[in-house]
Amino acid sequence: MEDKNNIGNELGDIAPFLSKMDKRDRFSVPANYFEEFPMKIAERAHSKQRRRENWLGKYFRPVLIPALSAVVLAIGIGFYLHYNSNSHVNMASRVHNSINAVKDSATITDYVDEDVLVDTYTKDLEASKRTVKTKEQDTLVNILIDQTDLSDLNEQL
Amino acid sequence: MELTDSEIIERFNDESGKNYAFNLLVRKYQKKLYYVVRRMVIDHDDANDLVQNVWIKVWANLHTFKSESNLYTWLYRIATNETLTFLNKKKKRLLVPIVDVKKELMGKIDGGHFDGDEIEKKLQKAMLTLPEKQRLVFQMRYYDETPYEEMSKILTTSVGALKASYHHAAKKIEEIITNKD
Repeated sequence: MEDKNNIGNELGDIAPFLSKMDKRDRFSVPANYFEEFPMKIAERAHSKQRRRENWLGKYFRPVLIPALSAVVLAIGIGFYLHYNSNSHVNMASRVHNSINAVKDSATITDYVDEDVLVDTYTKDLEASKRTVKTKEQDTLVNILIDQTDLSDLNEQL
Repeated sequence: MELTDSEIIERFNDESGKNYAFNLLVRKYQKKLYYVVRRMVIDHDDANDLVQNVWIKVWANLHTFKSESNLYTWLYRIATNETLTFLNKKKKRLLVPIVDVKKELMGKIDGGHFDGDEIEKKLQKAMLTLPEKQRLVFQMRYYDETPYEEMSKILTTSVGALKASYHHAAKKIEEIITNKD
């Protein structure tokens, strides 16, 4: 570290006149300024600290703890509902997609000839009717056979 | 017996001795810091506001100070930062050229803020012709005899740049004050 002689010599080399000048501060300062300053600054530091503590005390009183807990709980519920509503949204979107799929299939039918569609439907219906008729006829024949007395029939013949 | 800086900090960090330690610290360094600021802003009211802000910052942040570095360097740095910020804000607030701000400060030297004789007033006015940071470098070296290494830590500038800045400033001021006109 440099010593003060070096600093003085350096200035003497650069600015000889300046190096010989009195270096005392000549600024005027109000009477007792330095005597009173430490007390003033301590007061200001404490009042600032008190303001900060008051602020903390105001917002973090024990009375407010239940209220804060309620707020935290409400936020938690909010989050829960938010995620739940998201799952509803997912479900709704799935249903929406299904409906769209049905609509898409409906649009496919737009491209099929309507007569062909009617014929196919009718044939299918008739076939099913026939099946039903045959089955019904078979059933009736069987009932008739079961309920008819063959000896009476022979006598009548 | 005067306590060392590390003893003061130790007491400050103990809650029961905090006020006492802070009071000791203010009493120890208040004049030095006041004049660092006053030489830069010239006006007492401005200097008073600034040093109060500096000490409030010290009160709020001294517990974070790491004792391996020099306390006065730390205090000096807070004071110089606060002062340079103030001067920059003043220029922006007034929306006037730097020359006019300097004229205003020179007027204060003539207007009762300074008790020195004519040659000392001339020195003060000569210093005001320097750019602010160079003025700060010159004043730190000339009045406070601050070593370049310490100045480098305070102003975060290289030693080489500080030497060049100081030499240039000293020559310029010498020329102004030795000029008979």
